[in-house]
Amino acid sequence: MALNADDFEWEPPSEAEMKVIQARRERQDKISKLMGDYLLKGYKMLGDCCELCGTILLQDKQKKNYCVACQELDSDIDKDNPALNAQAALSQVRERQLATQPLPESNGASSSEPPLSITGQPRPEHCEGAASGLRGPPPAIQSTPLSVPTASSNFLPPATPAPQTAPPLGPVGNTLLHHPALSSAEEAVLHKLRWATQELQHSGSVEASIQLCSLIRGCAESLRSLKELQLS
Amino acid sequence: MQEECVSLQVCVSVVGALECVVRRCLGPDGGSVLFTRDTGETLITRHGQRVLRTLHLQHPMARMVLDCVCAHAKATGDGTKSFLLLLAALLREIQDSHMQRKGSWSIPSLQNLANRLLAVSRKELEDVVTHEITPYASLYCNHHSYKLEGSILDLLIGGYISGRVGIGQADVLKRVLCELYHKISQDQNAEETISFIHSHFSFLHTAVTGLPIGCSEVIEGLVVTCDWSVWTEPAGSVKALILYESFGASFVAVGENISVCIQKDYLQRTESAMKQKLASLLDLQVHVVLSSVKQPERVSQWARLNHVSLLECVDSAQLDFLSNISAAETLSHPPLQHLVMLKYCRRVQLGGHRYACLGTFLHMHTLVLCAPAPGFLDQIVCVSQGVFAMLQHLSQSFCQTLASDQSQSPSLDQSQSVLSSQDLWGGILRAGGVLPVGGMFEFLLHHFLLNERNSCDPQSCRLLAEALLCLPRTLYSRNHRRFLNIQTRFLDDLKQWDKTKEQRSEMPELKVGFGFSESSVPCLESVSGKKQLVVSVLQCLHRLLCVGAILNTRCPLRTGPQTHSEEDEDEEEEKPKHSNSTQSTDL
Repeated sequence: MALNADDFEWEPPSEAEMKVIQARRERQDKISKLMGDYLLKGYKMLGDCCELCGTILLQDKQKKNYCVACQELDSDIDKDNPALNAQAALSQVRERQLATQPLPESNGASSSEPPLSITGQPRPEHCEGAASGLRGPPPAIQSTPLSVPTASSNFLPPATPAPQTAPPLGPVGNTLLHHPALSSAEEAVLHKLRWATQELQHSGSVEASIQLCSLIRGCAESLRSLKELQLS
Repeated sequence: MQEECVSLQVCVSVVGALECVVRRCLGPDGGSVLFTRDTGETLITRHGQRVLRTLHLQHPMARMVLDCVCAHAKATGDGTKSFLLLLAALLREIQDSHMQRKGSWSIPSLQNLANRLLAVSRKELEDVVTHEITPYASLYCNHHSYKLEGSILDLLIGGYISGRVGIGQADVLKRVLCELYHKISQDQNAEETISFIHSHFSFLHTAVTGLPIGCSEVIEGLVVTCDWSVWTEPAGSVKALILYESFGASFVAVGENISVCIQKDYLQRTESAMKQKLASLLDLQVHVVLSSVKQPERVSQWARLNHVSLLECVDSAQLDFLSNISAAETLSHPPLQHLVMLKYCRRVQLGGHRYACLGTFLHMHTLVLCAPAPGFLDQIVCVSQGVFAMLQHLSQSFCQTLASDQSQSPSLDQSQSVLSSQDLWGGILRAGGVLPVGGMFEFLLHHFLLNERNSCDPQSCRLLAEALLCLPRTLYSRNHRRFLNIQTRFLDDLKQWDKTKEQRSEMPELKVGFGFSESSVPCLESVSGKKQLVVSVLQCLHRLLCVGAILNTRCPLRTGPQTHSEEDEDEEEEKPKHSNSTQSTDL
């Protein structure tokens, strides 16, 4: 048995090689562990390999073939990678939006520069009442009583010209700008209030009555805050 | 027929998966695996072979590895899980080392490596064990012999059991197994006792479910797992008849001519023939009839009338065993009948069943093993069987080395005296055949392989040495710091030992004590068993790496990988292309 020197030379691996070896070994260990767990659960180890990755296939009791690497390992990695997954990309952007979005407590303060969503549409509504308000009878106003702050913020960008990108304008400017918005908002709220009262009079079911009452309450609160704004 | 190229990657995946399955059951801290069936049956076990056999493995490599594991376990009774761990570690080392070659392993180079590793197992391993490990073990054990409480056999059995059953059960099992050994060894020497118990273990034990393990005991006599059909308490020793066929069956002796013709009084003739035979039995003063088949009702009636005890449906292998140990005399006229003398006959109650107990003049004893659940009982029976397989392997290899030493230097009187004396175990200890448990063997082998100076293949030795450390690492996986501690201290000790050995000065004080194992009582394991494990693993590795291609055929699948013929067919399937190269490897 002649020893071939070329066959098996050993030299210490470089750092890059070590990293590759380690990463590969970790992946292999993960695959082995998952396969071992599935074997103990009653899966059968088949004699075939997966076409995509070359891992040994397992078969469950319903005779379905299962590749551990493709289904569990690689999807974990790709699922969260924005470059590969559109969903992940969208959710990442929305998260960034949430982080930089101003909190909706006061209408005037930082609403000069509200970040729009990518699509330019108003933020999704969060309750049924708000959505029904949207679908409600004329006037075709884009907002409802419960989302007045966002409505005001959405109104602003088209109204404010570009040079006014400086951070918060003075309260005077705000009041002047808000006047037409406030009055139209008040109109809309009153109209909604009237409509809800009419519906409440004709309503037959308890659920609908409860919802209409809450709508009326919401309208009243919105009116109060609008009045406060007008007075300030 | 489809063909696929077998790569190192597939080997690593298969063996890696199997290793992950058994890894959790290794060592005294290991857990058990719970298997359930749809019918509600459960099996809780940590016996490596049982766990592996219960898995559904269709991959031919997995089945081949399982065959190797079972063959090894049958020979030594030890090391199913360690086998897989070591095999997986070796394959991973080979895979990592190929990264530096900047190319993939070609099949001939893999085969070359496999051959070289096999050569290491034959030469370097043998040298290291004989010239380095055995002297170290002998010195170590003699040095610390004052710490050994109890006999060496106790410690060997304790070492084997402690890694396989829980602590509370280990004590009971150890006591009971030692008792069995001592009771049977009254008539023979140690070597013969072990060989006898190992080969006839299936007759020497009875398994009883439903009782706690503390009820296990050794009772006198041979227990037969069926009850007497007709029972009268005999007084003293009795003559027993052993027969293997029904009384009514053959009333024609072999060699006689028979003429077949239906006669009117056929029934009456057979009746009278049977009466004659039974009467002849009474003449012979037979008081017990042991039959391997069910006898006709006529015979039971006769037995009741004449105060003869009748035991039916006994396992014929057990009846053979009984006739062998009792020096049975064969009756001439009916060919399949033997007469034995029994010391006594009893009826015993074991766990809700009544069994027959036969006493022989040869002081036979039966080990009654109890456990609450069938799975646990099966594990205890396997462990008990494994103990005696391990002891048998140890004593056999020791006697072989002694015999070879004697043949080389016939003037040695020492070896002769050791063989003839009863103290086989003391002899083994003095000759360095045992080491404390807990990874000591692996550390020693690792150190000596790395420092082997006159080796012709240092790379393969290094490969094997690095892979060996996986075993103690897994044993101490719960406490990694302890592993590193032990490794450092031990290797320091070894360096010191090497130095003083060269200087031929006095023996160094070995600092690493018996605190290897977690329990306070030291336990021993057999060096030859461990060496056999490494050899078997390297042989299995050779088979795995020499597989050239796997051909999937369309013939129906076989269930269960246990038969030898099936293994040959697998090999034929798997080595079609590279038959030339594989033949050349047979040295």
